[in-house]
Amino acid sequence: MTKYVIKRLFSGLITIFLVFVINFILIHIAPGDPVSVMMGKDNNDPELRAALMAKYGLDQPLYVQFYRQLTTTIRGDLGDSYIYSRPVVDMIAEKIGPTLLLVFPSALIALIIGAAMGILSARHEGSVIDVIFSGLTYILNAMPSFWLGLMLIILFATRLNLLPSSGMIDVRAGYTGFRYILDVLRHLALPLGTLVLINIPYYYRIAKSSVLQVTNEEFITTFRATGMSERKIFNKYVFKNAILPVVTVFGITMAFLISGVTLIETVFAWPGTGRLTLTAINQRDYTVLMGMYLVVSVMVALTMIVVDIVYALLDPRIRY
Amino acid sequence: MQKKLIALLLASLMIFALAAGCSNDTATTGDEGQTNSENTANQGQEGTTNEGSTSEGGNKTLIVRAGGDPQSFNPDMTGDDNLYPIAQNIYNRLCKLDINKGTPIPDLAESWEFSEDGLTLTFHLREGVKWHDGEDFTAEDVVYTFETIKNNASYHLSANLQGVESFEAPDDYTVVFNLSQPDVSIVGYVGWYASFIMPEHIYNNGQPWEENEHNMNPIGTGPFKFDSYEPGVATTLVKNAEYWETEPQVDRLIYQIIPDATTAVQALVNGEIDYLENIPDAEYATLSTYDTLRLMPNVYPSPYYIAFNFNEPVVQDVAVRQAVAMCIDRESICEKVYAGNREPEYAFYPSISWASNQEDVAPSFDPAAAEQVLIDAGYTKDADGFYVTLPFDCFEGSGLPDVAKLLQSDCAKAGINLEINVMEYNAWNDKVAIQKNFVVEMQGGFQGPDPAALASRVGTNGSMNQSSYSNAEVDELFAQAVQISDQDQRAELYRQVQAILADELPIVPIVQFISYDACGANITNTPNDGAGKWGWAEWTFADIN
Repeated sequence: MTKYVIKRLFSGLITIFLVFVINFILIHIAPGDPVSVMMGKDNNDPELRAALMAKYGLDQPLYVQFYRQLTTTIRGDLGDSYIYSRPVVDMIAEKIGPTLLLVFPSALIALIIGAAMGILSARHEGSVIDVIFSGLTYILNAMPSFWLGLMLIILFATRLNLLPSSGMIDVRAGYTGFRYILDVLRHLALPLGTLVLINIPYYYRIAKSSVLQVTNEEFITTFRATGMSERKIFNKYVFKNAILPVVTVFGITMAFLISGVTLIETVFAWPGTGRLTLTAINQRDYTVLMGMYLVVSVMVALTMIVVDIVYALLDPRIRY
Repeated sequence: MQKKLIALLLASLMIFALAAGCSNDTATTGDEGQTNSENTANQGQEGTTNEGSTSEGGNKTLIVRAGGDPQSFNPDMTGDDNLYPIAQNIYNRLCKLDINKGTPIPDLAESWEFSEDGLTLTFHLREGVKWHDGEDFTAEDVVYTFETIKNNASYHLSANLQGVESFEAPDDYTVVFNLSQPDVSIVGYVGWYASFIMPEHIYNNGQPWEENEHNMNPIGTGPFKFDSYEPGVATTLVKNAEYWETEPQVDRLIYQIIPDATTAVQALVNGEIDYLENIPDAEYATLSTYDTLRLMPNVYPSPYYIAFNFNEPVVQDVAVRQAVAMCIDRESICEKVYAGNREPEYAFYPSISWASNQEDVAPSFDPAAAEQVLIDAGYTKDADGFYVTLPFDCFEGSGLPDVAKLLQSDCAKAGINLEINVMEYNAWNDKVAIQKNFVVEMQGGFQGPDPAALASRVGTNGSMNQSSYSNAEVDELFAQAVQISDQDQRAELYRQVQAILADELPIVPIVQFISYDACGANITNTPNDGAGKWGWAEWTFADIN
């Protein structure tokens, strides 16, 4: 078992290193550079460009820059942002909180609502409920998230005047203490609602198909033949088997959560990691991008290792 | 065992769901009261302190939308459009540009003049100005600021200061620029961008500017003091009650970051923000129906234009450039792409400027005549029915891809095949501006503050001269024009340049840059109302009624 875990850890490290290399190459061969952003639009003075390139070491060959990036990263330093001259670690740390606050509850609520709808649909396949739920999730699935977000803003913020349109806090009021928490929750409502609506179809489909699949298994037919009640069959055997894939999918998506939900964060002016990444892409802020992608790849690798180990514990055949 | 685990998992899921549900409920019940207090704070009519507003001084809070995070709060290091409006309220310059963005008006300098030979520029400073930390502002601060910028090639204004041999402070309230040759355009640059006066007592400590911690806690001389900055959320300034010009009416000035313009429009309509610069053109019609809002046109000397690459043989023939220039249906571009908010631009220097030549202008729209020009020049149609095929690069945003499509269809009428390539801005900048790898391109850009800026676009080796256009006569006129201080005489020289451009067409203007700024109707003395009086993003005199 120890050997297996070491093997998995080692392959995880290799994966992270490969992702690091590929990211570095992709980011640096993309046209444009952070210097153009620092120079501002309407300015292309070659002397200023050369001075800035030299100042940030961007005039050096790519392998020198790669070596520098790699050695600082191994020392645990993600470097400073080219554009904001601040430590990348700080920039990511201050944005992760808002992102988790938005994404984790929304994924959870979507999981519960989506799975419940899926199970209901599967149990009454072909019924009115099934038709309505399927139709509803198709519609939700087809909606672009930013469009749905805007529509919700126009409805709940502008027309009904119930909720703030955007941001995480009311900067005019500047609440503190308990009212601050309420304020954040009010601002959270619309982006969270949008994300829930957008994510319901995924969990709905997985839940419905896995319930249907389990229901068609032969052992269920056997139970039916023995005269066991439908309710007992479902509660005891179908649900238990069918909910596992849903939870697995949920676990895997958690790893990607940290990269944020760019479109939603942009539409709702939510200060999260998705917006951080998008801004870094637009500004070619190499260090921030490398830092974000490193954090994401570590999270994904860790989740995969944990999943592998759990599977190995459950199923000894995998270990050998 | 497994069963128990799953039961536990499900139970925790349920608890989470309940908790989430509860918190949403409380959020909704909290609505009514908070919305009310918000409205009171927003209108500020009663002048009473409501619980919604903060204890920081009074309760007049004005919120301006910001598109993104400032890079730092040192405005002189990089070209940072997110900081520029904020910096104009924290710092001062020697002189500044008002909403017309043309002739500089006094700021820290009450007046300035050139010597007879044009080699000495003297600024006379205001007395009694103090930094936000209480120190006196003197001419030494000015000298220190400009020397540092000049000596750091990576600072934004550095290149423009290379013509200044030395900066001197003969006394506390006089600053002298000794120029190596006469250049009247330097006043405009001093009043524009990355030229804010920095406190010597804070920055002259042996550290490079980049490392100074006051970059995130700025000390200026301006109408508002820095209070706080929360990345991705907002920058908060509080009024400087001892401001030398007048005490600002607004207690707090907040720049709230809302990246998406459409969301910002909704936030404005709801009164969550008070001022939104550059509303999307498509929103103009809707917003103009609200009597709670005021829409103000804002014209920039930044017309969109197309440029031809003179290193590409296919556009070296003036007939081809002329033919393309005749295929620009400006009226329809203004109507279809910019919702009728913008005006056509025919002049080679922005029509709003005193240096604009309104007689020697770009040819008017006439595809039939354009085809005739090509036929007369000996071009013949190829198998696809085109006389000439031109790759055309532009970047996303600002409606440019739509302009390109209209151009393409009108050019096709004259037998010109435009192959449009739309790129993301950075990629476009790399391809067009740095590598000069294009045939025809389209862009905008600020052509102020002084008409001398035109030299950077069409002068030999100009930094924004994408065309690589070079004309000795044009260069000579530019050189002469910055040595004369009389505006009419200068204008005459710039008109001659524009007449040459009208013949040779290295660039062809398309539309003026006119955008609408929107603010609550209860706000007076916005930056837009301050022509000749205050800066173009300055909130010193603004009030909420």
